[in-house]
Amino acid sequence: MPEPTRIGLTEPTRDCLLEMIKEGIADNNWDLYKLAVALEISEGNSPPPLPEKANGMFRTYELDPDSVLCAAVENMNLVKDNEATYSVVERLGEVGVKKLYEEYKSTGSISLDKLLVNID
Amino acid sequence: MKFQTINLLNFMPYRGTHSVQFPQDPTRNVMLMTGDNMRGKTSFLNAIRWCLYGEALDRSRHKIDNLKLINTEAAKLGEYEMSVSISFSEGEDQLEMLRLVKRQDEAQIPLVEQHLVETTDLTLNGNPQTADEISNIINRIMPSEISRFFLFDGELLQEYESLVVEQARQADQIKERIEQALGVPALINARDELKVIQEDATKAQERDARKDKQTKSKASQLAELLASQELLEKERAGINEQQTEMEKDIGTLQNELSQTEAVQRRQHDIDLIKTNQKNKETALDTIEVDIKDQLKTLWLAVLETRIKDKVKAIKQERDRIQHEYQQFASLQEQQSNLTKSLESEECAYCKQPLKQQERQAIESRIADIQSKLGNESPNYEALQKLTNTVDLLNNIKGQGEISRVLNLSKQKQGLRVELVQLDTRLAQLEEEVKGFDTSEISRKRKRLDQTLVVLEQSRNKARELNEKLGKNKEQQGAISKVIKQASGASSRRSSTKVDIVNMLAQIFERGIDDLRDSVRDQVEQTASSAFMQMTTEQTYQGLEINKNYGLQIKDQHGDIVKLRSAGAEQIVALSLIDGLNKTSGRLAPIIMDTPLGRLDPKHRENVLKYLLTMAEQVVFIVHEGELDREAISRAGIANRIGGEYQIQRISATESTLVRAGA
Repeated sequence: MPEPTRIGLTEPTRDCLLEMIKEGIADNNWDLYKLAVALEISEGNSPPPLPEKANGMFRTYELDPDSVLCAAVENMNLVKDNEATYSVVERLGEVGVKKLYEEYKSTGSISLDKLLVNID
Repeated sequence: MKFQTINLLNFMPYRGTHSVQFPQDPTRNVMLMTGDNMRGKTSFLNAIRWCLYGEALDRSRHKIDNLKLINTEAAKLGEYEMSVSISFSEGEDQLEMLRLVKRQDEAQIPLVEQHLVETTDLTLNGNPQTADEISNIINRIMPSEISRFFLFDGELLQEYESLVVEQARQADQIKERIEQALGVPALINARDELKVIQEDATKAQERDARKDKQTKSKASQLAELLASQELLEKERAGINEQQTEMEKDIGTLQNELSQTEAVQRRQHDIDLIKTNQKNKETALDTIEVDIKDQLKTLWLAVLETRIKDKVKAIKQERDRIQHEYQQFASLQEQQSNLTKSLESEECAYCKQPLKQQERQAIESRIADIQSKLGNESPNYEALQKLTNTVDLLNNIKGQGEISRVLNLSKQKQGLRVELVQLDTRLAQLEEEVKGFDTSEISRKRKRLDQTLVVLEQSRNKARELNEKLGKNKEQQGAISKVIKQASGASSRRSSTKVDIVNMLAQIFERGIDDLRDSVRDQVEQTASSAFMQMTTEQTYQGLEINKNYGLQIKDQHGDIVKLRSAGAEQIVALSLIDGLNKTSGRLAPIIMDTPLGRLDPKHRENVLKYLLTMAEQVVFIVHEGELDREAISRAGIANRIGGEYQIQRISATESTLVRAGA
């Protein structure tokens, strides 16, 4: 399966990400996006298909220059046959960003301690 | 001085008219006035103070505005007339003092102090006195500054300690009034009048000396000194005037500021909170930056925790395959060497010819190796792939971001809670200072501080001038002597007058010191005696007096007891009152609000017993808890009570005075 060179978020989720960045949750889109993906990987759940087309806001070689995300997703057995790994990363990102945004909306901030307490 | 009757109208909780008769029988000279807290005990004491001196004081000894003294219920009904009158005797004289407050005709509802008008009337043996005379007469009978010793508020003991601090400004004023009561100013005034005569005499001497050739030059010097003295005195008078103005200004500012003390404290707290908020917000910003910094690589740390087991499993698999591969290679090498040996008929290792038996053993070993090697060679590609995966996954390594972020989040949460608490407190305080001009208060505080500094500078300047004046006088004295020795008959007469006046001035100067020492000694002795009768600590030697009439307790070694309890303070204050009473030769009534509150039962009994000897009239204003009927009985007071009143509650803002047994 050929790997996409760009991945991103659906328009509504992208707006959520940009709002959180604007509110100063993180310095840039990548930091928060990669954290969202990492948290989803650590959950170990298979991500659902995207509800709509993603916007391709990240170049994969820029987002994941060492292919670390790619390797993590593959080795956590989240990639099914005939699936591009970065497509899975994209779907994980979509779910992860939505979750972070829900947390942000309900409490006014992202309580990292709550998110990380089970991980540490 | 002996009180006869007090009449109150709408004064504080006493709505309408109320009258209290003071006991007149010298053998039954004690009056009890009882009431629960907040019913008006201190208000009764204030009624006497207000009538005599025009000021009622709150617990911080700040003057209460007349507007606040008018009974609330009466004011609600539009009755803005308040008065207190006291009839009393002083020696053979009969006096009646009335202080009355009414609203100004044009003020329908008085909102500020200026909407009220206050008048005072005093009759002396039935003759009305002028406004100027009223204050003189009252201050002669019981000076306002020492009235605190007679109108005694047991809750305000701390101010008696100010007399112990020799530099205290308040102590200076009290000392002056005490000396006034004890008669010291009579000598001081005489000395000051002699100074004027002294100057006139010196001028006359200078005029006479100028006429004499022999003393002409000395006369010029004396004239210069007199001129210089005049200038210095003029300058000193100017400074004194400035100081009086400044002291007045300071008093006004302190009074104004003291009324807004609570606001100042709150403003100070607001400033502190705002600074605190700023510091915490900065700390919060720093934490936010740190968290964002950690966020850059936090995702790696998150992945690491989940992937590390996976990496471990992959590594084990890679190591297993690697081991298998190494074994396969080793067997292959053995097989190759053994095959070579068979082909060359000699041992591949030791190069010796092979025997039949050895050939068979080699063939068997080769067969064994072939069976171990099997048909499939190890998967080198898989090994390579696993090695690459491990290398890749090894990059997923955090640097302790999770624990750092957790720690930072905890700090952040703590700071946010503190900021919310500060916000709440700030809102409360800002609500409390709403309506006050806090910047005006700050300006006043600044002006007070500056005036205090200028006053201190002015005092230093006055000291310098006094030194210069002292030197000038010395020089005048020396020149006077020379003139006297060298002069003719007329100069000698004026010189003799100067000598006489100088001698008299010295006598009065010493007289003032002697009188002061003497009255102080007398106050010390009588106060010590009173103290020893009231204290239960019989090892004490007594009391020691300082220049301000402050009294300190001497222990068994004659050392000063540095820290005294509130109870001891009360007994020392009572001893001072007794000392002043007996030294001044006047017996003023003693009216005590909460006098026994801080005393243990034994001290109460001692004090009650002693109080009977202290004044012609003693009024105890007490609450039932403080009133120990048994102690009264033991102290022998029961049959000395000539009157008893109860302060009874009518409502939260209204009380009435009921004569017991009436």
